[in-house]
Amino acid sequence: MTLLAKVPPQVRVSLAPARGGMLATALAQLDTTFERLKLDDGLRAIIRQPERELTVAVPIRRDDGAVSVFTGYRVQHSSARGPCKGGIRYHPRVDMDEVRALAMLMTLKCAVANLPFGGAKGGVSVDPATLSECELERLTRRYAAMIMPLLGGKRDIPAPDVNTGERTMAWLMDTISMLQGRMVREITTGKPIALGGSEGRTEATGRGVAIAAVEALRRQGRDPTNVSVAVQGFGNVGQYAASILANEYACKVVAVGDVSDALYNPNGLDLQSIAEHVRRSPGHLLVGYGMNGHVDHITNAELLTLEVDVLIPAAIEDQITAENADKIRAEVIVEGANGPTTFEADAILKERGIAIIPDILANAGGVIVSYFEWVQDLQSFFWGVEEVRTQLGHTLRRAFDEVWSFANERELDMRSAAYMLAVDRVANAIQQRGLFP
Amino acid sequence: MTTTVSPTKIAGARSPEAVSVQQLADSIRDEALTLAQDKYAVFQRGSDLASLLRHPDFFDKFKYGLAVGVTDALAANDQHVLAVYVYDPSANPDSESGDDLPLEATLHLLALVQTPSAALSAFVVSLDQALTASLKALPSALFAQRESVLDVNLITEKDVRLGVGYAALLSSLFAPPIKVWAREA
Repeated sequence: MTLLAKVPPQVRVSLAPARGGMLATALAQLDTTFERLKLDDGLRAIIRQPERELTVAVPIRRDDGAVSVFTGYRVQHSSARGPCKGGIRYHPRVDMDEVRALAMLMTLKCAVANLPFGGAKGGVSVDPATLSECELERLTRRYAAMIMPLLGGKRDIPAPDVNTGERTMAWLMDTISMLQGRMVREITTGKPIALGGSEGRTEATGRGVAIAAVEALRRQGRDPTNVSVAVQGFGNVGQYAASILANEYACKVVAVGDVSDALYNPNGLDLQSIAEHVRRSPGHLLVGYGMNGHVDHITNAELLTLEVDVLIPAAIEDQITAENADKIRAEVIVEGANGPTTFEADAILKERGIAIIPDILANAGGVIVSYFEWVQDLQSFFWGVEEVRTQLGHTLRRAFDEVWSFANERELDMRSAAYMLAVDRVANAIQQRGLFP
Repeated sequence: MTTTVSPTKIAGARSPEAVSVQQLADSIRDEALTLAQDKYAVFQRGSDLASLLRHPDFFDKFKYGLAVGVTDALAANDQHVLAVYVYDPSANPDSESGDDLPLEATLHLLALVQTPSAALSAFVVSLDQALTASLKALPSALFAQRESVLDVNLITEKDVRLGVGYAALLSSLFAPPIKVWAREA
């Protein structure tokens, strides 16, 4: 038996704490980790609080001439390990507590992958669906100008998040460039390729999930060839994870599912034809595939409880719960989605000896490629997709190895180890830098 | 060719008693097109409808317009509908990368109801059929072969409290739904 499946001394951590009082939950998780690390009180006090917070009132002129004012936030949780890094979200529910908690999680996520970044998050409390395209652009540009004192390629680098994307980042980069009088590509990541975005980002998270799965199998002394894999979620992440596992590691992907259907063939699925179907189908969904009987159509609940070697939940949060955790028959779970396993389910799975590769490590491919984008922008030297893949492989395997070793040395499960390693790294950086003045 | 949207305005708008479900669906489609055009960048409004429907920004606005129309219809049809949310099940778990996902025609809604009823479910099925037929008239491959465009999940306050099934999405941090409408207390 490997340490991956070790029953915990439990560290109560999750990438998706319940939203109600999520800052309190995140802080409680952090406190437990501090306790396990026996961290100095001063370090605890520093890490518990964001370094800097900014609230801005963002006025925009609406298309009908009226003025609306939206509240925006930018929180820098920690710059101990490098410039703060974190996305900007547009959603009516955004508030300071949510942004604080997410900024803290970004600090930990970057630290686990050993990226030279701290953590940040930002957002505007707005329902973007109610704004026209021009209003959205004005909102983004005004918000960018108002948080500009905090931003910088060596200070704080935003990225897309909920309801923002590469176009939002292009507006943000252009606004800062105009105000500074020079092109500042490195001010943000997640840009269009024409503006300094990176190749290879479409597949980045899925590729990272595949690498994490293979590393987990290898640590268990298993050859990935022909191991059976089930993937819940056939969007960007699930699709790439499945096809990379099948094509590059000769795994046997026996089941895939999305909101519309779940397909099962114990002999392995023809992923190429499924991907082709999804590409061609109007809703980009699995529904309608394999109606001639060469695959079984199962429910998503059945997919999660298939007897497979590797289960990859790559859809949404809270899919593996106290209700179905005791029915899970996979040997390894690789969390492609954020927070697919509830806290209660996590405890049950560990009791049952099922290895879990936590989201904070398994789906870090996206933020790693964001780091590569920043590196390329700083150098104005842009890599081909093969270089991105090679570097992603190196970075993620090294991160996996470091978490694995940390878990091994302290007899921890991988989730506890990932969080403890992250906090330890941040604490170390603070300690080594010392206190100014 | 410029866009020619000729909304089939229906008096009394959303009352399903007043109009056939097909008329209602056509009205929802047309008003969604109008809304999308109003929200779209002025300099791009002159494009033909087929081009507009291929543009992610226009398509997103159009889908939101459909969500508003369907929500109005559900709320008018059943007093037990308390709120309606729109969500995206394919949201990228690591949105940091900023990758744009392909356009997706299905409208995913969560309808918070006092109690789910067979009548409401039946209305959703019939509205789905009518709306699917209505959208097929648009010059877009995304709708041409659809047999369904509505994915409406009925959730109760108890589901929300316990965080079970689709109701758990309401507290999602990484793919939070957006409230389209809520009944005033």
